Amino acid sequence: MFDALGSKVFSTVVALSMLLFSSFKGNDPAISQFQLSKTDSYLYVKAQLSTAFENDFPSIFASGVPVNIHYDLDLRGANGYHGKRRVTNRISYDLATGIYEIRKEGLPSIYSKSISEVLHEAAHLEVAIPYNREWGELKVKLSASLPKVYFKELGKQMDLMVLWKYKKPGASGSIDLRRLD
Amino acid sequence: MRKMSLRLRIFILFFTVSVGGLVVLNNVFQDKHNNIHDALSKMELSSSLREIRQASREDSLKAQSLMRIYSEGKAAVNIALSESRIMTSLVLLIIIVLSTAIFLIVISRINKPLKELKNATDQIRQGNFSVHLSEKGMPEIRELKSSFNFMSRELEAVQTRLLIAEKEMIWKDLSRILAHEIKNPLTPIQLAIQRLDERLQTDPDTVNDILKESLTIIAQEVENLRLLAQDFSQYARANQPALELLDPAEALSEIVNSYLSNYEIKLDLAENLLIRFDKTHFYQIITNVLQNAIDACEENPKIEVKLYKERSYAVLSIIDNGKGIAEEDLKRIFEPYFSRKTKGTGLGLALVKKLADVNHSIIRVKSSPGEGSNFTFIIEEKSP
Repeated sequence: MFDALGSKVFSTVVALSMLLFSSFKGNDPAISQFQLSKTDSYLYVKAQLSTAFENDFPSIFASGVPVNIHYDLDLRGANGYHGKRRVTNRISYDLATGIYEIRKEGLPSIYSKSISEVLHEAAHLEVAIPYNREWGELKVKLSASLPKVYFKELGKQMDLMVLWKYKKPGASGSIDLRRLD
Repeated sequence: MRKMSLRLRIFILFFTVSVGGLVVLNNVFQDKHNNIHDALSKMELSSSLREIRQASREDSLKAQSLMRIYSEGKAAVNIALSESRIMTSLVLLIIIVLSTAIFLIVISRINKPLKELKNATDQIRQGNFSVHLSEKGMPEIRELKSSFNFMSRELEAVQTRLLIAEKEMIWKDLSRILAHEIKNPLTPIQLAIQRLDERLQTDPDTVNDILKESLTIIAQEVENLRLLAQDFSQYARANQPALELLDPAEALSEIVNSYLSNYEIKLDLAENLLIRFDKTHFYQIITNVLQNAIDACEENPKIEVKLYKERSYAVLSIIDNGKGIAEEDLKRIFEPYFSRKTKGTGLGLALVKKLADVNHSIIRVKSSPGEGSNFTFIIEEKSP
């Protein structure tokens, strides 16, 4: 809890300092179109990251180093905590062919030469989670983050959260799992 | 416009020079970062290398390695640039917040004791030398407070010594004057009694011839002693006035009337003027100055009493054609017990000054030896 609070304070201070003293654009990621739906067996979470990859990311993706985009789901029901789920979208680039591969969990890989398609797919989340009806009213918190990437040729590790100004976009919603549709 | 406090001026100076300098430096850095970023975005190698016909597998591997190094390098520089720009701004913000906080703390730690010193100095100025400061705070401030405490203790000691010396001097003067003033009437009384006693011894039948004269002398000198006691009593009691609206022309006419049968006093009094003055004090002042004017004229006294309006003040002048006051005495005429007259206690003009002060009026004295004196009172005029 303190980590999350510290991270929020830090990102707020960074945002303030950027506003006051920098012309750096970076990216201001936000989660939009956050939707929760269910079938008899699965809970579906859909979301779209907006304004997250427009600046600087094309050159990062085009470096050939695979980049993971993590979506963390926090599930809390009326009767208890039901754990975390991490879903990762992975983008890798073949320098020889100039083709991007977008790998999403549980789905076949997508190949594309278009960076705009890559950015759109990378920002899109769609995941199915099995559930129990006893969970009742379920509160789902979603947050996105970027890992540190390792540049093998340079022998250097760098934090991609810099490009999001250390801000972890998030959204939350709730759904009653006992109700029959 | 209200003057800026020292604290505000130092703060503005600090902000302009220190923070302003940092902001300018940051802008230069940010600008340079932008230039590097723009240049980097235009550097493209991979697509060009892919278009080159690579003759062998070896060439192809070399080209791929080159592209990897270049692309990773470009991405890493991009991230490092972004990080640098964020960190520069963040560090600048932290420096500004911290330095401002430290500055304000230091300033308040300097300002608080300075305020204490100012208040203490004000108290010293008002004559309270017993004020001492607690010697806390920064070493320089402690030193300053210590010096101040040393000074106030010295002043207090000097004040105490002065008060003792002054009291002693007052008692000595008072004793001398009282002894002298009491001795003066006692001598004629003693002489009159001795004369009566001698006559009773030598020729008791004719004692009645000198009895009346001797009793008159004794009665006169007793009256003088009573007046002396009255003078001292009045001087001691002259303090808070009972201010009331007073028509000075009317009061002056009333006072002067009792003198007109014996002396030539010219009145020139403006009507319709009102002042706020203690009526008893007014009578005491005028009577004293008028009596002094009469005493100053050895023969044929010509006295003029004027009352007129000047701006928002009532101006009252008592002018005589007496012997005047020597220049060196003018400075001392309002001192208690100072007198060049052969009779009196020297308290008359001191009382006049004291009464004028407590009634918020100003006295001006002009005098030329051999020509006469002019005592002028300036009193604020009041509407009814």
